[in-house]
Amino acid sequence: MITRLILAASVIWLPAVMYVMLANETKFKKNIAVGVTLPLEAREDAVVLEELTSFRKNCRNICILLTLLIFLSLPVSDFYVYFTIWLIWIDAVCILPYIPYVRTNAHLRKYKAEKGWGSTSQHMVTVNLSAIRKFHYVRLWVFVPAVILSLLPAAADPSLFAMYLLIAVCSALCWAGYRFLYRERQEMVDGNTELTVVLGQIRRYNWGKIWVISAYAMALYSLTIFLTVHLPAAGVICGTVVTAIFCWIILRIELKVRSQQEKLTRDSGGEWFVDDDSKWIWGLFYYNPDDTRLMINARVGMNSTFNLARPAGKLIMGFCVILLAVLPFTGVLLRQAGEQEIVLTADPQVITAEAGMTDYSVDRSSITEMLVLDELPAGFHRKVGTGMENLCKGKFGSDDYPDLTVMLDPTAAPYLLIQTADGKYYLFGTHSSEATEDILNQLGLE
Amino acid sequence: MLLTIDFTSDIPIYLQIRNQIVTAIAEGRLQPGDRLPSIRALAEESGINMMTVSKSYQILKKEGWLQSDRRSGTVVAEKKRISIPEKTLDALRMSIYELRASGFGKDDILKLCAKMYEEES
Repeated sequence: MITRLILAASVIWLPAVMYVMLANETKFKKNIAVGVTLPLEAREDAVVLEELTSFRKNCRNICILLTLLIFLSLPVSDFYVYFTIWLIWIDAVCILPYIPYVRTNAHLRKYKAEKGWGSTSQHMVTVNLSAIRKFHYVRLWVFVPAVILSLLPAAADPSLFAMYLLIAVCSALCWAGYRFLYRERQEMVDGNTELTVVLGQIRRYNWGKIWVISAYAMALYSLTIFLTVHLPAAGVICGTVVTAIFCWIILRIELKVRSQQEKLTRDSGGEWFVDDDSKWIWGLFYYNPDDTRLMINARVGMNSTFNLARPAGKLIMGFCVILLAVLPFTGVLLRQAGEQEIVLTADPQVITAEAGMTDYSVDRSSITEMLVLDELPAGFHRKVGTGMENLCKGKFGSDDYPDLTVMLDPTAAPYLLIQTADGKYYLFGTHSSEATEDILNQLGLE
Repeated sequence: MLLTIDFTSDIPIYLQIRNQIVTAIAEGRLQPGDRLPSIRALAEESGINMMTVSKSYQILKKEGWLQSDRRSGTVVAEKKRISIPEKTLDALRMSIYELRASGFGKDDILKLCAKMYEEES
């Protein structure tokens, strides 16, 4: 039940964030609401306001329902079934709130066409030459300390070098994301050059801020892991707190940018304004075959997205769709992984423990000591590997044995502890206490 | 200055850029010394291929409308009376033939030219 509660707690905030972001779409920013560009007069139009109110209400109801559903699924007894429901729920949170969005977008577009509120041909683009500014990127050296800090704990704890290296790579990738996921394109709303320049500066500044914060958040994760490697519960709590703070900061920055875009374009949408609706499917997906670039800045906020008219854009979108579709099946795979049979064998030369594609072999001539443990050692925790209800395999640690290579079922004692001449420790067991005892008898252990 | 590209037009994109910049210079929206964005920047902004923008800039430099400055980049050249390109003369000649064929006399054509010149000022 604890695991279920942790899983539920880790995602319970998602519908609320979805609602906040989608409700924000009903505020006019850069003349755009719910993905539709509308003139100034539309902001007082009764039909438009009703559509926006209705959208907010539908979105709110869906998000409340999703929040309730995550609690209702808690009593499911089979963990793997619960996990699968959890994954399906995540898919649902990503998709369902957008149903009213797409519907409202379609209604507003239709109403816009009826009112003759102007649109630009899909095959035209307007650029304000006076507003193009050179983008001075944040220097690489700003990111370097974050990468170094991410890797630093490896010096004190080489056993987790791979983990710290992975985090350092993620930190380095923040620089790559900052540099290459941004399109140097002006934020043109109308013919006001100054407004275009200021909107562009706001986006660039906050874009850089987010990626720098992300890089240093990776370093913080490294530090958290290092400090709590022997305290798994504290590690989970600290990791969750760091993630929560990080997400909160990112969300605040995004909402602040949107707020600034809203304020600065409050009086726009008069005589002439940029209308790129024809290039956006449902106001969400950019599709412009005339644009040779893959990346495009999102219409509001400071996110980026892909041009689906480019082959790479189609591939990336296809990959995301497949990922969402396949996600629920991870529960099935997890069940298969968790129910792998553990085979423990002892012959005159070697003791072997294997499960699935993983096997650990210990040369009997190198064994210096063998012990039988009736329970898992105190402070038993996972470092790198699989730690499921019925299967633990990989690198673990405990108070008395900091580095253990493990293959066992934590619910089926006893366990065989092996020490070898090179100072390594192995802890083996099977799903069946009787099967383990048979092996122990073969080895002459009681 | 707003530059609008129509991807469905029969006029090639590089010519559309060239024509709009020349028009902007003629109308005073671009003054001598005004800096234009780099080729890369304009290509990035508009989504047009860099080679297309480069071609347009090269034509404008060749015709004397733009010049490159090491410090400032590409700027609008100082106004000077340039020799009219052969292509422009051919286009003008053709327009005059078409107007004559439609029954316009010399005075009508000159009045029309004067009116259009004033309108675009």
